[in-house]
Amino acid sequence: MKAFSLIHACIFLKPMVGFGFCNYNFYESILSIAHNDTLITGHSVVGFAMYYFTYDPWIGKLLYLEDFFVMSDFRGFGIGSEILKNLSQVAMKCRCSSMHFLVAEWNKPSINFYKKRGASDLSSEEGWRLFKIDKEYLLKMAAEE
Amino acid sequence: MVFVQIREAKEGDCGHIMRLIRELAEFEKLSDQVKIREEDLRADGFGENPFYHCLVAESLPGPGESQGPCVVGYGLYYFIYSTWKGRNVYLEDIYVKPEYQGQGIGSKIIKKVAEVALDKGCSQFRLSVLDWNKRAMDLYKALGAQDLTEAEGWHSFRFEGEVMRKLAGK
Repeated sequence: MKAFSLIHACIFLKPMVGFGFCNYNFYESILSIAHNDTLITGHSVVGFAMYYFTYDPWIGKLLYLEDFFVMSDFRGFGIGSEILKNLSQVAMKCRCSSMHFLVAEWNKPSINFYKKRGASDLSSEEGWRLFKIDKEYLLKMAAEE
Repeated sequence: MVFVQIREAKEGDCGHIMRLIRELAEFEKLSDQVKIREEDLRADGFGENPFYHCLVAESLPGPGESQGPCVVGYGLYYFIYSTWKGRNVYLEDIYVKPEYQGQGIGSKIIKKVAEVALDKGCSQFRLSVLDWNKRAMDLYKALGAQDLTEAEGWHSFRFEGEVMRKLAGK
């Protein structure tokens, strides 16, 4: 059996621009690293979460979780939960009122993961629909008199 | 005739913006959910590291009118990041007082945010709408917006305050 261990302590925050911890970079990341004795390099990134800060004029700062992924071989070890715990601590440290994110309605495993931990589906519960306007329409708008 | 200009919000506008935020929350039938105060809006938007940007629609008095300019609408937005599309802009709130609606002010605010988005190298503009707000949905669709919840099944999720505290282990 391959020698394998997880270093939870290696979950760390990596600011993208050196402005500080809770400041306004375009995004920030948490990386999860597994230590494997059989790897020559000794460490390998096996999961990540990318997030940034958004704003709700009713409740103030929010933490927005843009991407969250753990490689399939490394699931079931509590890495996802640990990343989520870390994110929640970041959110609280930065005085965010809540954490928001998107999930595709067909992604049942993710929906179960989040709902088991107390997440609410605002689209189903309150009727929120996400809209997008692509660049070609932004250019059209900007060109109008 | 009313002349309305769209301009960047100043710190002194926070009182007016707060008033309009409360009006919009009432319109969305969720007014008990407004928790922030004017001082939070000031600190979060006009401090060293702003967490949002805001445009206001200001009606200007006509010749001979004694009343001063008046903030009659706002658009609050911030920059986000998509791992698929890169820099985007997110329009969090847009509101025009009912008596000033129907004059294209909302469209002007959106257009101004679109200009800012392009200027900052954004490739997409996002916003959320409540499913019963047909008038807003029609306006956005007329501007080229697509409903991603309908088209791709995206749902907005949240870990709210108390739940998040539990996750943090506090």
